[in-house]
Amino acid sequence: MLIKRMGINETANVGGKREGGTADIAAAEVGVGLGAAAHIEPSEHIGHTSQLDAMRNTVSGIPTLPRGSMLLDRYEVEQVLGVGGMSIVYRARDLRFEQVLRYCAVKEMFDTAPDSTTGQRIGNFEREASILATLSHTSIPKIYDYFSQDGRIYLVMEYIDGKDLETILENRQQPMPEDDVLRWSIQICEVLSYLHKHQPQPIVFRDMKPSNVMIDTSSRVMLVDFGIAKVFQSDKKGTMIGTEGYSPPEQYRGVSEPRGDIYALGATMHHLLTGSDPRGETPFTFHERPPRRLNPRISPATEAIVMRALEYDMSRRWASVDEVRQALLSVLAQRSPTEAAALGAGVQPMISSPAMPPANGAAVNGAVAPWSPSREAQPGTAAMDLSVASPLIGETTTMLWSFNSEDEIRSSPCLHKGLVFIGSYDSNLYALNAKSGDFVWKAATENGIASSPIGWENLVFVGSEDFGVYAFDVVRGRQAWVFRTGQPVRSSPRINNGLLYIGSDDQHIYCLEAKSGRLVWKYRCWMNVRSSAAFAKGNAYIGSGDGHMYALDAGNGALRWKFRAGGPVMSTPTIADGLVIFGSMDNNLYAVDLDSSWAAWKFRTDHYITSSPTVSAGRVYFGSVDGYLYCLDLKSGRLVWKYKTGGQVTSSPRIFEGGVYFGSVDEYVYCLNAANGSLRWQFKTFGPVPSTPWIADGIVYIGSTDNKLYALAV
Amino acid sequence: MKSKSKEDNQAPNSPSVLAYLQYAALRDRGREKAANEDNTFALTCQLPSQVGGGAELPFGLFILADGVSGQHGGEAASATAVQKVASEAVKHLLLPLLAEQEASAAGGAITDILSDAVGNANSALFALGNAAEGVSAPASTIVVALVVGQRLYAAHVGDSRIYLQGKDGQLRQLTSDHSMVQRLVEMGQLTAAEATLSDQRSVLYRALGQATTVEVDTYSATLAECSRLLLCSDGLWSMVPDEQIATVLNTQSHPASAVGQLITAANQGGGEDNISAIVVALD
Repeated sequence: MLIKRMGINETANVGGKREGGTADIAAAEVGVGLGAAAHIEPSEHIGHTSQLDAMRNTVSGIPTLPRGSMLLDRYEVEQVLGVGGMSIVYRARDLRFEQVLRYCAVKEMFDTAPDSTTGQRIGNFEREASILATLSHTSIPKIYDYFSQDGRIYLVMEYIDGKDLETILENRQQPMPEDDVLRWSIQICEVLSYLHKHQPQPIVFRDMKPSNVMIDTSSRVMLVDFGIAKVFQSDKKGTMIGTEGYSPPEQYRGVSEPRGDIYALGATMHHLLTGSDPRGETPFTFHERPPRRLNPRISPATEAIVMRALEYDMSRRWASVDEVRQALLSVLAQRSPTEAAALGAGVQPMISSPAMPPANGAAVNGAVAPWSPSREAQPGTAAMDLSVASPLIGETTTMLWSFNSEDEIRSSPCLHKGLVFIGSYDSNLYALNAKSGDFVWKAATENGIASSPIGWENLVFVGSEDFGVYAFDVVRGRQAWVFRTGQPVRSSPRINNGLLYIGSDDQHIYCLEAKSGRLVWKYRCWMNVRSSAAFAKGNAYIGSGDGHMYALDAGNGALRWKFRAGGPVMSTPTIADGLVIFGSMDNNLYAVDLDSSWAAWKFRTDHYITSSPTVSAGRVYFGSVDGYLYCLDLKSGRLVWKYKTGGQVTSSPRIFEGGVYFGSVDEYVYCLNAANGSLRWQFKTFGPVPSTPWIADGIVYIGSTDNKLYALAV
Repeated sequence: MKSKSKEDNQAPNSPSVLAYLQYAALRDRGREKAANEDNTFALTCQLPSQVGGGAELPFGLFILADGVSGQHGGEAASATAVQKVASEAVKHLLLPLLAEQEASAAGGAITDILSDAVGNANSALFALGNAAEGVSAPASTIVVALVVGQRLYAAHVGDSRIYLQGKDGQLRQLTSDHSMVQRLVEMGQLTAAEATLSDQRSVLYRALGQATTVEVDTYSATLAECSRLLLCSDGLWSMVPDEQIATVLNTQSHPASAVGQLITAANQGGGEDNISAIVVALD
């Protein structure tokens, strides 16, 4: 945490780091978490100089008592255990017991910035200390004495021989074994339960974090630092204090209640299980970093417990620590001793390996369903990986009709004048009634059709493997014209200002008069052209197998600029926000400035990108041969979410009413929630689906290599 | 070519013909701080057209950093950050652009280059902290705005901001602060109004110099519909409401007069922190 305007509170936090990794730190601070501020009688002011003051050493800029200093002629200071923001903790020997070596922890309160509220704060401290003195629990250090000397306040407490969990984790340099975390957390739940059931008011610990949990030499959990510091740090605007990284969001609104401790326990467990320190991460992003993604060896059951504790919304967390304890106990009980031993041997942290949910989705312990990120998006800044391992989880949709061609459908349908047009490898272009799917006409080319048709006025255009670009009359399918290129035409026609633009494997980009098929201009590339054109600012933008994105004057074909990607560009560009966005077989998606041809950003996937991006509401959607459908932020090029299908995604997504529609080589047609990538439905075809859907009037039209064109309900 | 923190509070208010990327940069100590820990950098030039007889490309690089008080001086922190990013950006963006014939993926995406430059500034600050035993690294915020032609490329860490003033007169904040309150607002736990009053509003969760690496937010946006670009430190935006900033930008035709009025307004609003701002004309 960083503070730009240094205040009392902040100075306290900055100074709160323990010195030099001392292993032992005593239980020290006491207090009660509820901020209910009864009026407190001002107590005596502190700050007199004294003989002790004159002898002080300095640790981290804080004057401390030297070894051998005597307090009340009874407590002999031996060493500094730690320096906090408002206090120093010493290990001292209690000389009242002459025959034995009896240690105690002595906490000395100091005030870094004495002011008019000091008296009140001291008063609060006394009140809180008195309440704590009435507590009795094996995991809460005992209070022995409380006094002031030379204007300073001292608290004498049980000395704990052990280490705090932060130190243990630091020393270990890798995540803690799951079973240890379960056992400690169960004990923490027990002491929190004791506090939460305190009468007349529940006590909220408010500062659960690894450094406030000590494990003594007999593996007993001790809760330390009961928030005296918080009482001292409270300021006139209200209590808004907590350790960044572990505190629940509502604590920043001044809300403090037992379910806040559950969140902080969840954050603590997350840190212990993953080794990922929440103080180094964007606050409240646990849902973007579920434990199993950072450490796949954690059981789904434990992850589910942690993630429910970490819900932003209090009402969605566990209702009580007793519930958490019960869930933890049943997980621990289910784990066999051999598993426990194996885990204890060492868990390596792993980064970003997609988590596999349990295949059957069974409830854990009869109480907790495995945590699933697709359940509901949490507001966040970073990306979510919505990996779905099994493609059979989601619901399906209604098939309105299907139409069987005589060979694979690899291209995409288009709608025009109430007809849906689709090309098939059986060499025909079909025209069907868009509502009923009834056959209207077919027009033959001399070879298969891999190009996707487009309608314009009373014509429909398509390219063919027979090297031709065809124009057919919409009503009857009569051929209007054909333009012959030198190689198969796999690019799809695009119409702009009455001109048709298309590429061919003969390495040319052609511009034809749409009405007549007459050549207007052609541009020679160095490899095949399978991308299709997009238009802006009087230019046609089109990619080539030679690795370039070309910007050509749409009127005369003059080169405006070309951008060289690291691999062939088969993907058709999309234009949005002054950017040309396209994929390349160098695995990157590029966003290139329309004017300067500079790459504003690029995004790398794990395989070729032949899918063409779609932009909607500031988001870019596209598929990759790596099997994912990606959603990026248009401004930054950062991942918003990604969704894993069971096969390559060469289909291009389409957006309709908040849904993302696309096909996958895994034979499914998908509909995802565009906002968070959760699955709405998936529809099984009987062949890979490289086709891109066309959506109109509540119907999704898409082809499949099972020879069919499908009409599905959105 | 280069202007560094012109200390001119009495900018002329007379209307003048504006050139694209004409700018004014100003920093002010404010009323409560003893030192000025903000730093700015600005560089504009015109690049020859690259391919196909296009127009010349206007080029502008604007950087602003707000040093965090600490054991190191905040001023040294922000100066180091600005110098590092400026030199990296010139080296990896401007010079290759002057040498290159054809745009290609090999040079990397612009936002990646900006992000790397900021990352190197982070390393430079972090190294300062390691140099002295027990001394924490100096910290700084940073905003970088690179304009090439009609496009803005930006990088950002901390709570300094970039605003775009539209031709419709609307002020739009491009960056999103890396502050605790902003995070709480994004989560719906605080309202924007509560955030401005919160005593946590100066608590950052991300700044330069705090770790070996830093996550840099980057943006790209078209400037076709924009009339002004504003970079500023929190000394401005926390003292002057957005509506007032918009009014100043809308009514002051000259960047120098706009930036002068903004700083005056921040001081009138309390001047609790250092104030710095760069106003760039996009007309």
